[in-house]
Amino acid sequence: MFQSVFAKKIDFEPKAFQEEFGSVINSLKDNLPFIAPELVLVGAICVLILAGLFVPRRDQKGSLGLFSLVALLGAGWLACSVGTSHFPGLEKPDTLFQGMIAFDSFAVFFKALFLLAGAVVVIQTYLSHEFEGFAMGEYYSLMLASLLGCCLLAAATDMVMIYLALELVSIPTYILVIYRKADKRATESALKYAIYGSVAGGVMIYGLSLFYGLTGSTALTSLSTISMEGANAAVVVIAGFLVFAGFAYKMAAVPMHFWCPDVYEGAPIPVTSYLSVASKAAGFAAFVRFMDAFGLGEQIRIAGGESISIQWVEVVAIIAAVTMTFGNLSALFQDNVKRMLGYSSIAHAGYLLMGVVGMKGIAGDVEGFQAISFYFLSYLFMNLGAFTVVIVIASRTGAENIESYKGLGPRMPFRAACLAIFLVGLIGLPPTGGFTGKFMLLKVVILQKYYWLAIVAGINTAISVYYYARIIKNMWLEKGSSTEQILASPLGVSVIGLQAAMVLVLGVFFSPFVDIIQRISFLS
Amino acid sequence: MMTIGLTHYLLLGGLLFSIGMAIIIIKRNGVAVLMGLELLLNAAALNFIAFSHYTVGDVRGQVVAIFIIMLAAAEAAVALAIVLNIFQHFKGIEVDEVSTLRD
Amino acid sequence: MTMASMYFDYANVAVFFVFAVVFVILNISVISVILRPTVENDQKDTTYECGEPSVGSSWVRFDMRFYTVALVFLIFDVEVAFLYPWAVVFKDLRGAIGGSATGVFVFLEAAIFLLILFVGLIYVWKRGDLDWVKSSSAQEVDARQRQMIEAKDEVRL
Repeated sequence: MFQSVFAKKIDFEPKAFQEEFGSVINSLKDNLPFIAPELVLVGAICVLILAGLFVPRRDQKGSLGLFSLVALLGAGWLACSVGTSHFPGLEKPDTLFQGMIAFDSFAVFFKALFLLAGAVVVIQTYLSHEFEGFAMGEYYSLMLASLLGCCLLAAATDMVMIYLALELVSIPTYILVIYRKADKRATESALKYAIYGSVAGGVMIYGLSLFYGLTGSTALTSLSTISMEGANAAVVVIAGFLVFAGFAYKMAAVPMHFWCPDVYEGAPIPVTSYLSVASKAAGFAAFVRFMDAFGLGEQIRIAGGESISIQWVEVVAIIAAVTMTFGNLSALFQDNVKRMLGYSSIAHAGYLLMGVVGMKGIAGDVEGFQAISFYFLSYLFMNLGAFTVVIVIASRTGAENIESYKGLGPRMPFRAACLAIFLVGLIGLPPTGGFTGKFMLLKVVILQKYYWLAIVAGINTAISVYYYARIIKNMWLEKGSSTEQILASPLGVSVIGLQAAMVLVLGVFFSPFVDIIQRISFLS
Repeated sequence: MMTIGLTHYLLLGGLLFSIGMAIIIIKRNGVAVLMGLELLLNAAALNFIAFSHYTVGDVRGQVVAIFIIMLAAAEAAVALAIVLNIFQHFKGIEVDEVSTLRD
Repeated sequence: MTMASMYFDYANVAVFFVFAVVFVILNISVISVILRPTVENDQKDTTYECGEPSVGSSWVRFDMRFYTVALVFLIFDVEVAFLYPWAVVFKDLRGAIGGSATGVFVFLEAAIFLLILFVGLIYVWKRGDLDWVKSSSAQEVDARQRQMIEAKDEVRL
């Protein structure tokens, strides 16, 4: 009975395959210069593993960190320059490696974003007290390996490539979460993270295998050729939801969000901040590509077409609403800052899914995926900035609870003021990049005529004011047990200040950045 | 005489997937959960190979199966190391008892 | 095929089956009892453990080091799974478009793949995980790390 559903068999001819393979090899050679940033990362990973063995342990946090920073910034610069310039004698291709990964401005933008986020996380690691006396060669090489996965995931245009890149993002982060293996909380959160992650991955690849059977190809573009007739429809719906589970896990969207608060609380803070930005952004980039190929407007018809008939875009809209509401309501009652930021990151996944809802159709001056890109640009500075301050506070005072933030304002005025800016940005109030980004997301949703979703997002923003403002209130208005000034390091202050400045710039002088994101496009 | 065809492989794949999912949900032992996970991945690999042979006719599905085997190995290695560490901290590998982090 | 010849085929199988069962039973329980010398010895009744004297129950916890060895084996085991398809098509690729240059390129790609895995081997080697008896300095480092984290956790609580 299944034979009729899936594509017909084509005879396999080994000889033709060999000839094709020869030309494939030649095209691989031509494509190599275009993945220069990834190659730099691979080289740096190998060097870091070996350097971790030979550099004295107490120097590793600084020296290997500096090396990773240089490698990441170098790769980021390469990503931008390769993405914008032509190589002499080589034609700029649309896709690389036989359609495995795309070479478009969307991928280039996200690559640059990941590598910048990685550089910030490396600095955070240096500022953090959590890795004193640890061997850091493995830490940095795993971080770079995960970033390599992010870069590939944002560019992947093939289902298998998406799966491989997703796992390359995930597996190193399992180890990063448990890096302090004598820490009981980290161990527990790593178990939850690894089991959820692997199950999500397994479910996803099963769904992808069904798509492979339906289309006879693993290319994303072939997804649009699936016919939604008869028994096909049921298989497509099942496979679609299975694949969605994998993406939802990476994005921390309901119903695959359970790992998120536990892991955020248990993991070392720099790793938490990495998970909240880079790996989430990678999941979103791949999801945007997948949904574009899959067809958001496609009707889901179950049981012959009459009983239920909804569109995928409606499913995404419902998930977005549930995700942001769940994240915000749970964040209200948290005492641990990291856990609260975990729930806040779930809520932001909900806001960002609005961009997917507004991805297609009535295009305004900014399209849905461009709004997502801009929001991630400001989310990068807001969230990483907030985590940087949290790291500094945890390193200097050992405090991770919102209660213990009382009276911190006068003790570290500049950094506490910057934290306030980051939190205002996370709420989505002007004059910060968070406002600009959320405004764009709301706009694309309203253009798409999903008024109810925009209203839900508005209500959620109002709810989120409560828990973000509680931190600001505790820092500035409450009296703490101590009034002693907290030591400032030049590196910490300058990184925090720069990020706060970027958040404000994105909120006030946003037009050059909007120009950039309006030029972003991707293959479809 | 019945010939073994695509349907049988797909049913076997579906069965493996269901058994794996059931193990993950029901079992409390951490290592057993990882075994269930292997079944999920093998179900997917079986599907890829069956489709590759019966409907598509290229080797892409078989190559994917090799990648799945590799990822299963990598995941199992990392997850087992984590379970070992769980054993050292919690003196047992029952997944339900590992729950000190909650709201 | 007629019905009779089919039954005849099954008869073949039946004869084989009967012969196999009789052969095994005869050898193990009749002929060997008659032929073997009988010398009583307690050692003979114990479980065989690779020539080592057996101690205690077999349901014991295994040493962590078996696990490390299994992990290292796993890496190079899966590596072969990738090299096998490569080796099968390698011969044909020399004759493909681009001639021997293509062959060299394909060879280099596999070499780079092996080199990256070799980094892993060096890592395991240098850390002393290949030695059955781990160096005492490596053990000290682990213990020191554990103490430091426990001390810090107390401060935080």
